[in-house]
Amino acid sequence: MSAEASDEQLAIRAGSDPQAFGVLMMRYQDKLMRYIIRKSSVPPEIAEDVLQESFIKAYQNINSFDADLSFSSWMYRIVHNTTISHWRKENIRPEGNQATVDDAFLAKIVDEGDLVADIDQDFLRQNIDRILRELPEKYREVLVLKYIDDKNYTEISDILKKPMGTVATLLHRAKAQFKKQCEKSQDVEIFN
Amino acid sequence: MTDISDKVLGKIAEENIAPRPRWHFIAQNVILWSSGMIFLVIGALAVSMMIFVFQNGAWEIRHALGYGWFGHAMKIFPLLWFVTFVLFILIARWAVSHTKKGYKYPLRFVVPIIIFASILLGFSIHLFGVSKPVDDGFGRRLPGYATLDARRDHLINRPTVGRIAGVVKSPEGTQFTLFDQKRDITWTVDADDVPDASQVHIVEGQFVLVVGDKIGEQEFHADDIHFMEEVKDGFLRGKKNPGGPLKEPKKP
Repeated sequence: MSAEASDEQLAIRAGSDPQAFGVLMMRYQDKLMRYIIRKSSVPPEIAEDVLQESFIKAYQNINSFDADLSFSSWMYRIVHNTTISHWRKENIRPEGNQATVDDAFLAKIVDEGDLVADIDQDFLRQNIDRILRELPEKYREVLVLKYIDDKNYTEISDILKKPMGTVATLLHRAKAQFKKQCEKSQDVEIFN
Repeated sequence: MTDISDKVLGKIAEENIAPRPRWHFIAQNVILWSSGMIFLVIGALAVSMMIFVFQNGAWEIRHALGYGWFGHAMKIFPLLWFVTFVLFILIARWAVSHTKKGYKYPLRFVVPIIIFASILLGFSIHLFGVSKPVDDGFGRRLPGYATLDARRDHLINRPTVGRIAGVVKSPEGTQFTLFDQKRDITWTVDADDVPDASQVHIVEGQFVLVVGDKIGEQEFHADDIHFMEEVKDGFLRGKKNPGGPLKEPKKP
């Protein structure tokens, strides 16, 4: 198995060769694991079960993979849907994102210019996890995909199966909501 | 974390999990698109039926029936077909968003395109004359479904509110009998108050709508008469009143 084979080439081969699928799993398991943990409040063991279930589903449906779509987006979509099904089955709502939120994320979101320019950076660094958790799921999801998972608009559209215009609107509203939450939290902290 | 991929590969081998064959997804796609086409045809049929109903909605005698434009439209509104059309739009929208690439297109483009396509196809179906046979077929098979013929008859022929329709028989002076073929009822009509200009055109065999009051079991006093003719599809359609414009019906 060529290590240089692209994800898409491996995906097409995986229909008749499980080892090709194994290579894909090795490439994606870490980032997908982090994605599942960020989307929900489940412990790593549960996240692992969800990831395994997602990989099985992906393998069963590998022949539906269309090279017009990136394998990454296709796989993220399966994990996204499996995670939501898991919530429904277990009758839980995602309580938050244990986001691996680091300075890189902070830098990206601050780079948006008008977004958090007025917010104290130290405050933001200490409270960003909580602020993200307070956002509605539909806004948190797009912010995480864009600023933590580094997905572009096309990829987010393919993952969430929404038109690009809708993704752009969601991101715009998510950033506005994020800024509002930051300001509110900062005011509460100052008042306290 | 390497054991996740090992676990999955182990489970695949142990449980003999195999990828679904490509033809399964091709078939799925074919079914989705075929269903889409069927929904399009159903929606177009609903459009053709709505055109059929509105086109033959007895508008030419609206004035004689005592309704304004909106009131008359509500009387003949094809609710079943409108609901079918709306339902089709919703289902078609769902189907499009579930195709491989359909989700990329915003609903504000997809829905108008679906509506436009079904209206265009609906017009074509209507021009082929399919609407009346469909209407009659539903009337025979669907309990509670009123064909356009039945609805027109109900609109036109309501003795209790002062309207009867039928064929003129034995006109004599200002009296004539009116034979309602559908109900097998013969009315004796006193047309003394009908404008002279209309009276002269009351001839044997003429289809008429008589507006006035029921004065007996099978007796009717006419205030005015609207002349009708049989047109294609067997409907009676109002024709230009040789006696001039109709008077406003008497308000109760």
